[in-house]
Amino acid sequence: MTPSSPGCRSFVRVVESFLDGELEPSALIEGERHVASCAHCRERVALGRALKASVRELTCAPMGNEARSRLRKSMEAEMARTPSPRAAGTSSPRTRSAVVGLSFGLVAAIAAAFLVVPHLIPGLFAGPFPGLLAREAPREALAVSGDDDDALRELVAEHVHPLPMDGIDIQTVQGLEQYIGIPLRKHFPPSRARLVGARIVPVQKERAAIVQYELVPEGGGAGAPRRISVLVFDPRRIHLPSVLMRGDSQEIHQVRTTRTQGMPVAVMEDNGIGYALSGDVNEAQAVELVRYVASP
Amino acid sequence: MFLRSSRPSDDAFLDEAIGYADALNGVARRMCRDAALAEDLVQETLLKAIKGRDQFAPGTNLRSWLFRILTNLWVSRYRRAGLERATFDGPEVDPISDGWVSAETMRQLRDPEQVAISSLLRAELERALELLPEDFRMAVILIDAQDFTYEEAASALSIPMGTVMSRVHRGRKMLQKVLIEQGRSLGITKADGHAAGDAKSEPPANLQAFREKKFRGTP
Repeated sequence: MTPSSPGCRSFVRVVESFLDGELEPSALIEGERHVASCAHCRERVALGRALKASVRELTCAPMGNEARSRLRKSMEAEMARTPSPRAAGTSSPRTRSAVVGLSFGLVAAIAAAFLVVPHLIPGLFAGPFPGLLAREAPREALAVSGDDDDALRELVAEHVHPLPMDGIDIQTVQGLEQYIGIPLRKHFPPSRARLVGARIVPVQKERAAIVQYELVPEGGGAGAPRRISVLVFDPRRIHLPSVLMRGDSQEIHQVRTTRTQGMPVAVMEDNGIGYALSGDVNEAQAVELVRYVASP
Repeated sequence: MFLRSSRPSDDAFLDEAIGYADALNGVARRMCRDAALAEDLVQETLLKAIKGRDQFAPGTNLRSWLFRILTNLWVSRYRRAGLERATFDGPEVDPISDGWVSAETMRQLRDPEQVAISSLLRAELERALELLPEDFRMAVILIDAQDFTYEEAASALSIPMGTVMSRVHRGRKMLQKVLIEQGRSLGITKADGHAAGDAKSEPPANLQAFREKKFRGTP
């Protein structure tokens, strides 16, 4: 078999996945069959494996015992300093251990009630921002058919699987301004949303901040609080799809909406600062909230 | 019916997280090129993980989560702004075609006894790895050295899976190209590499020019 034979050409297209063990079983068997019968591809695979093994060897850097012991001590100290809510007997909304003593039928009945009752009594489950659930997206919020974007994907990823925060109070969050070069001073009032924290995120090789909040249920109601995440960025450096960020002055306070990975995202620019908000809210709420946090 | 989600204890979390210290350190060393700085980066990564342990969803991939913290920290704090943002222009930016390299040449690049690159080329490989654009280097290291799946690497680097595959492919091709050129200049391989097919139109890699360009402007 020669390197230009159809078998080789097909194999070359998948050789990396073959090396990385990412082929479907049937394609893998076909690849193995080809490699067994083709000296050239056999050598190609051998070189690929040799390269992988050498990269592995070169990047092997075990920590010394002393460094590891230092590390463990710091981690233990950090653990003592920041006791886990679950260890203290309280449970975080996202991670608590669930001990549920309800029959399946009862759970189903409650679920059905949640689905049906809000339609019957629209005002009852209005949440922290009365009227938002019942309201359509404001007319001036332009819906943009959603092309996913790195920045928005990062926002949604951070919302769904948040990483540890860099700052958890107003002062430390404000301290992050030096990393992103724009102010981080607008927040929701505590009666509406509790600041969970903020962290610096790399977006398009620039830095932005993601600030997370928990919405305060209206009337102090119980239940797991809904979270929202706001990406605060410099629109001169970080570019959302152009249709989301039009810089002309007439549209300076225009909220634009899209969906990224199924989540609603509302975007607004004010005074040279970009805000993109997503979270456990519907589109209308996202629009209302981003307008609230971005407006002067 | 009682449903109970299994949540590891704090001690178990700490033990599991510290179990990845060597892997994190290996990658951090390649990113920082400085042992002490790499250790700081690993320490900060693990401390952030401890601090945010309640945000980790049990049952998901801790290794991937830790590497995501590490790469985020690297980009946002440790990397010197601008210096590491190597972009390629000239011949290196082109997608590297699968040019004709004979089986004999490929064989000569390998160590006949070990499943690794020839020891004569090991230093060249190390240098070539350091010269890879950072994004490509990270992808190659996670996949090749840490045995990440494409999906895990995509999660750790916060990029789509297709981008991981493309970066790994291009990174490996760059490494291979440097090795072939060096093998030829050291007389390890015969001069048959890139002799036919698509590779004809591709200018040969010039390692010296590549390095000069890479370090131009670096203080």
